[in-house]
Amino acid sequence: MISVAVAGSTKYTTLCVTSLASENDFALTTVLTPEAKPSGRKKILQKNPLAQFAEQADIPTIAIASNITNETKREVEQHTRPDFLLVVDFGYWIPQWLQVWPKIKSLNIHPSKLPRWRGSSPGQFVLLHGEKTSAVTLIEVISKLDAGPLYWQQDFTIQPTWTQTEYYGHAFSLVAKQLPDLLRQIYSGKLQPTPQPTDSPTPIARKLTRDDGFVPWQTISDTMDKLPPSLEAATRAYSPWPQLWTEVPTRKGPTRMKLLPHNKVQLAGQKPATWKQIQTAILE
Amino acid sequence: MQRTKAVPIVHIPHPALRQIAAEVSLVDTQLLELYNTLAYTLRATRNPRGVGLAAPQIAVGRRLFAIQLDGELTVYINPIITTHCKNQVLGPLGEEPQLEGCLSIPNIYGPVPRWKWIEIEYDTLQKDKLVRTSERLSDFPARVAQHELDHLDGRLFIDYSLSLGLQVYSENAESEKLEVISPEMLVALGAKEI
Repeated sequence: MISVAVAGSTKYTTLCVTSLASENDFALTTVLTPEAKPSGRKKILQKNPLAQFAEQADIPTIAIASNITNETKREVEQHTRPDFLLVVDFGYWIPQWLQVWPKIKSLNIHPSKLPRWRGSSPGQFVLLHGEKTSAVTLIEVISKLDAGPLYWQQDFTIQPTWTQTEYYGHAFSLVAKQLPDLLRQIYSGKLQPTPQPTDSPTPIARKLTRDDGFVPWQTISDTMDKLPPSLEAATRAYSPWPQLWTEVPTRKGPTRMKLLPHNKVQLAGQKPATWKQIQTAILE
Repeated sequence: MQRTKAVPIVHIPHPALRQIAAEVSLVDTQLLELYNTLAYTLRATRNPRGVGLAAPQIAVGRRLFAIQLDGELTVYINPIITTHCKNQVLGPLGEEPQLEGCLSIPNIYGPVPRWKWIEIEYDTLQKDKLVRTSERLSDFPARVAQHELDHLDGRLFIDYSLSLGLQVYSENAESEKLEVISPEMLVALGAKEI
């Protein structure tokens, strides 16, 4: 039996975990996940997909309030040490004591062709830069961000219509299929890691903010009929969030307008439409 | 003869802005027309009023640009920098960086490192001949000339912003305040690493 603790939060973490849970030789022993945060317009306290999964599958869960603290450490130490700690979309930096908590290794899945695009938003940056191929990578967690020794990497082709959703969906479904086998091979010592280059050839794929999607209207107003490839790529790279957006002059004053993927635009408070359909609402 | 008219200034991502412009070798009617059109188009710019305009900005791949400063307009043909000072600056010493803008990249501004002074050699048009001359430019005029010279080599000021990680701003039409644009947006706008 291979025991695995999981640190993560999203549906992609859940996808990986489900793949392990369906095998008879794996036991999920602990889940570490951020505490439920008020989300959506009504600010409903909602459990993340991993927490929901843990609840249904009855896996002991450690909820992290706002940071990994000594309190977390005390709680973690009451759990049995697993063979592996699997980190997927966790959102917290893993301190040294947690890195060495599992008996064998702390592992992380990173959806880029490492050492390219270290950081929390690799898919966004791959798409923004119009890259044609990428990869999904299994590495060891070390203190330096996404720079640990590399166990496995699988290349894939990026379709020209992809947004973040398709990018991450594809990358994680590729690794989820392989994950039980990969862990078995690491467990038995058959799969050994190779070091990564210290430096990445790309900037850090940093966490984006709402304002990162802003582009001044005057700069793009000429090109609305047909966005240039680099801006078109941005409509997909920033979808579903923060979305490429601008502010257009209308009779009601400056109004936020989103530039959606696949040639759609959306004025604040309205449904997505084509540029032709809403063009007349814009002054000048 | 046809009256000179202002022509549209092209904006990013127009491909003409990314091409290396060709030397001017011959004075013919085509060049004379371009010379006049370039000067006229620069003079006609309002809000913002341009200080410089290069031929690629009106989609013509020839090596000439016009600069208007203090009401005086000069056209530089086949310009090259022959000498420059040792260090580049972002603006006058001891002051805030001088933000550059570009008629081809509306509403975007950013600091750019430039030589404080340069010596520039170029052709002037005298009757129907090209006559080589040189001039030393410093401070703001030197900055403008370097910006325009970059246009002749298909380079835009946002390329420096991207490569050097310099902040770029847009002016909010309402508040007239400068707002920071994300470095990633430069990639979306077609900025290239130098």
